[in-house]
Amino acid sequence: MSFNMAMHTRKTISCAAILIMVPLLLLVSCTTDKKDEVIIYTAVDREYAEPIFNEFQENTGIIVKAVYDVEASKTTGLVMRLVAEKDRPRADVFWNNEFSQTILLKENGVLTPYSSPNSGDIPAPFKDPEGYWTCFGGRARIFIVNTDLVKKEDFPHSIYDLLDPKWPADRIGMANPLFGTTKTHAAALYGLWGADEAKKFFGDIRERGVRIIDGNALVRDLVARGELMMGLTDTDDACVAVDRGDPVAVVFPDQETFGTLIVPNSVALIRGGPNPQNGEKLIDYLVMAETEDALVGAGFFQTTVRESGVGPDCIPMTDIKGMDIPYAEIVENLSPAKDDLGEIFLQ
Amino acid sequence: MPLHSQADARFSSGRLLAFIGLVSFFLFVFGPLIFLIPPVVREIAGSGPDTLLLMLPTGRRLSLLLSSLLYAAGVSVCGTVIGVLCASFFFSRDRRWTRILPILILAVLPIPPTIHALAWMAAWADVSGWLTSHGFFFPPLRGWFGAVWVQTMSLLPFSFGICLIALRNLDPALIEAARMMGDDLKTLLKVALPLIFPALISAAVFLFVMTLSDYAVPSLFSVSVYPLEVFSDFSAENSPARAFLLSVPLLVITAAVVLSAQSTMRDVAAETPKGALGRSLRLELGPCTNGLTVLCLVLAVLCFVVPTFALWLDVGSVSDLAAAVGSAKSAIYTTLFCALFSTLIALVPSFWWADGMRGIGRRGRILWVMALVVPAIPGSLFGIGLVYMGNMPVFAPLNDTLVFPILVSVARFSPWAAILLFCFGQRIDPILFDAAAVHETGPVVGFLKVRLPLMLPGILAAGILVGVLAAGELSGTLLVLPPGVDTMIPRIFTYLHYGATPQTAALSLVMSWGFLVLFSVVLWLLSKNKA
Repeated sequence: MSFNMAMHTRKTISCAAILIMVPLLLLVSCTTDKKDEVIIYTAVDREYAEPIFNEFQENTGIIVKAVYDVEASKTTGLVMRLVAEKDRPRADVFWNNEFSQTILLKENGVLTPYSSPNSGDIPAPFKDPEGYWTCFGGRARIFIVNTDLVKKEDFPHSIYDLLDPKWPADRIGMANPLFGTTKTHAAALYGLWGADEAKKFFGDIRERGVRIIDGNALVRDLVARGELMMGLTDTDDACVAVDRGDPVAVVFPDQETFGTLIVPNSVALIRGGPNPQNGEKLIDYLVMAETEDALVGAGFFQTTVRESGVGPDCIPMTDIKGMDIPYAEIVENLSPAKDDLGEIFLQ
Repeated sequence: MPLHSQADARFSSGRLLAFIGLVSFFLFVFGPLIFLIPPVVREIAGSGPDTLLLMLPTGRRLSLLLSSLLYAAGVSVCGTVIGVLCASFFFSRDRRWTRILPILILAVLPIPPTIHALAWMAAWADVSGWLTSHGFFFPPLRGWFGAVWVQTMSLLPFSFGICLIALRNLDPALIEAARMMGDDLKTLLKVALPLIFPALISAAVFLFVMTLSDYAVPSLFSVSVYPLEVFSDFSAENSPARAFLLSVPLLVITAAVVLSAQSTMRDVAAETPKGALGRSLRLELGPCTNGLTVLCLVLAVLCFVVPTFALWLDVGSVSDLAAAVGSAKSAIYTTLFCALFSTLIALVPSFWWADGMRGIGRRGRILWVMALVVPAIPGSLFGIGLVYMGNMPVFAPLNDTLVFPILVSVARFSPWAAILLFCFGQRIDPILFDAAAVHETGPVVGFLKVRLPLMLPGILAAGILVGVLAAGELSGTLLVLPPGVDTMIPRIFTYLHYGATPQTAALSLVMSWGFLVLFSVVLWLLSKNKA
């Protein structure tokens, strides 16, 4: 190679390297210093989680760095991330707004056992026997009814009302049972009734033409606007409409029979996380009774797992009958329910 | 030194620069997917050969795939037809307001389709309620009609923009010659539109690919599409390998569409004259065509007015807007930072990839297909690939930086930049490059003094496209965003949980207006450059 050619080649490589490396170096230099911190992945809405993290930060001096999930990913985004990061975990704690994905994370070997001393007064059904996760607070599956369109004496009282011809099928709705808490509710019904009856129930819902809507929040909004007479949703979504002063009422289904599904939050320690001790401290803070009560007061929880828990302002939730089915059994039914419901609702 | 040695040196350095550009593009775009291969292969090997059958859609999944194809084709055809008719309206009128209105229509590009859908649902319900109360029938915005309508409206600015740019870049000599030979309508239908055929195909392919992989809008209208099947499976099984295998039919269809379209585009592009009109004309199109173009203009204006007006109503007041923006200040900065760096990093390799796409024969075709298949790959797979990359000790220091969120956008949107640059490059006379090559002292000087100025409008357009798409990226960013950092789109989607709140509306408006300002500045710079 001649001298000139070599010089041109060197120049070219240098320019290309500068073009690519300078932005990368600039970005790497943006890395923050490692301090006394804890990293949490949470599917809980920022509006509710952030004040709790700020308070923890003030009390302990430990900086909380959070990654939030979004409704659009139906709470699977962070679970996907935690599974992919299993060999080099970046998070210390996972705070989920339900329990099924947390149990799946345990099965995937992402979690490590930790029984918080502050969870002593939480009843046994809300804790993993091996200490991998702890449930607290939560919400319930309910009917939201438009009070301008439906008289009180006509309110629904069971999820079987979704099949009752007195309700026009195109004026009632529920979220897609393949996702979110409606999916968990479906898996619970599979566990409670058996696969055949549950499959027939959802098949009949589809056959009737009940409106399947993209998410519980939209069910709430369609009922509040009067496009639907009633719909199946969660208490936290319904509370938004109640607080807004929309013409809606909340009905807990199946209180005379098998009860409604209570969906508590769950929290777990990540195996091999970068700050395990701070992670334990954060879990201690999250599961303590005061935090649970604060989240009820903020309107995020509508129920507590403790006997002494306070009630929410928006919906009276005293003496609500929940379904009597272990959470692990609900999770076992997720996959068979998904196969059936995919056949029914995705066609 | 002999002259031929200098020429050899320039040639060799130029090829080296091009090679580095191509390799960089390949690594940036396909690198994340390469990291995904070992875990996916391990998972497939662990679950048995039956898992591979997921790649073959049968029974219910086959009918879902057909529904998705029809849905994507419907949006593609509707969006392209409305887009080109609307562009024809502006092409045939040269007044002050016809120069400003297109910018407003293009300003809604960064608003996510979900926001479009919510705005349209609310507006439709209001209009429908008013009309039915006065005894008129108004079809409900539901089912497939609703999904196709909203998706078309949210993507219309893309097809409109592509067609308008193509029309305004036509060779003035050809248009003037055609006007002398026949009437204006014939000039439009028989000369102008056939000349922009590659742009029409590009717009149609873009809309098709963007729609085929989307499930957000269909699920809002309770219709089932194939990507929803992929997502529901992942939601229950948490298996990236299964998600990848289920996505294979979408990749194959996209590759097939792109392969058939690219030969048409390349063949027609080869006959495209060089030069640019750079402005609109005053054409007399007759009452029927005028009526049709005006109708499409109304639709295009509605795709700007409905979301903007609905968002403004939700915001409430200027003080609410300021409060919402104030609370999301860090997210706004991070979004701008990520969008800016994604654009800077994506443009350089895309430039060389576009150059390679212009190559004759199999190599050029392969580069084409590789660029156009990428948009059909689910964004979350790029995110997971980068997570696996971050698991390696050598890349671990990047985990707490914004490198990975930027790389997600670079990987997903560089191909769009390359395609745009390719289309723009087709319009430049290659003799100019050859002439400059004789006199330039090196490839870098040649790039800076000749290629860069000639390609500047195309580079700016590609930069805007990458910046806009990067600012709206969600599925991959969510997987690699460092703890304690957030961008605008996750915030908007978090707020969506509570319906169209003032915060959602305010942040969407900020994105839209920010783009409007950016776009106006770029147009101003270009006009100054021309002057």
